[in-house]
Amino acid sequence: MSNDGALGRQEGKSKMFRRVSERRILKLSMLVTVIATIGAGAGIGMGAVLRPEKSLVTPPPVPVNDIGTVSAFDGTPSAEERAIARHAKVQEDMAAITAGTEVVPDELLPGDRVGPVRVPLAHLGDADRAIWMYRTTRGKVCYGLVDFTAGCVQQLPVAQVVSPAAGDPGDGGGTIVWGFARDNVRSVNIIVNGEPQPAVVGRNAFFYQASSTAARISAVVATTAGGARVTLPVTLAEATAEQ
Amino acid sequence: MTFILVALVAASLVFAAAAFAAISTYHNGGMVSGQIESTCCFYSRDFNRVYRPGGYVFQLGYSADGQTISWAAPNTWDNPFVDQRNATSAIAFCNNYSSYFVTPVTCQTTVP
Repeated sequence: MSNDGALGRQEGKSKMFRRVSERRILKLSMLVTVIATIGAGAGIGMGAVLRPEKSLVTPPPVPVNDIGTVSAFDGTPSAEERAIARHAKVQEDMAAITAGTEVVPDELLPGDRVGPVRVPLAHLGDADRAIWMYRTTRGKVCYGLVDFTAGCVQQLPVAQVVSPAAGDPGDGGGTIVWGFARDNVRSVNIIVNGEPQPAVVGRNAFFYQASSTAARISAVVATTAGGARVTLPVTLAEATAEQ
Repeated sequence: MTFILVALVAASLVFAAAAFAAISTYHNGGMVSGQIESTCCFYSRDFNRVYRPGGYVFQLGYSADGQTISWAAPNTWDNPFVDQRNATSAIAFCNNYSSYFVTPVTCQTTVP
């Protein structure tokens, strides 16, 4: 009897366990259904945005092509280029591209430097800045203006021949407009207070510094070897209230 | 001899560390249009940078007073985009200034 009772209790427990399990499975399946429904709705709402983490890189919103030939790398660096490239400030700026990138997704990394550092333009503006440039193992061109901004580029919109950066250098000098230029760019003008002002143009780079930060800079106009003029609006940063 | 070797190794480590203070990642993942990420504290910073796919306008900025953000010029095509201007004591910011959800995005700056 006691055994039956024990068996009965066990069976009772088993039945109870099954009922509980069935209830759990039912609840779980309902939960899965709800989550799936919400997920599907969000997926429809956000279109292609919700992709698995591995298909990570969002494609650019406009047609692009490769930056093409970069003649800044032609020939061998001059003694002055080599001296500037060795300068501690340039070394530090270049290190800021690749240092501490362990957490950065691999597909976003620019690759390692390959070949010598070139200096397409030097002795620029109030602070005697220089522009440095190097190629990477992933086919990008990394470039920077000392103590201002830096980056790496591989593609630009098809009709875009320059990639400008502009802003207050923060050292008391006037607004700077500078950037990368495709190989076919022959001259660059900056529209300052409504008037074109010539920028210094070197191989694959240009630079302009206004007399103050009060100058109204609105656009960069690049002229190509074929005579085409390409105008690119410049958006200057403004201070905003913290949210 | 051993002392010299130890001294050389120590010196090289100091030199390597002197290249940058530690690098802090303050955002890693997707960012919706208009999303602004920031660090916690007022620190001296060597640079502020963002890694994201080219083609999306991003801005980097600092706030020295906790009230206003001084943004660097918006950048669209450089990846990474690095603001090399130093900040003496500032919070760092990273702004998806584009009209799109962008992924992946990694925003980093230096900390002492």
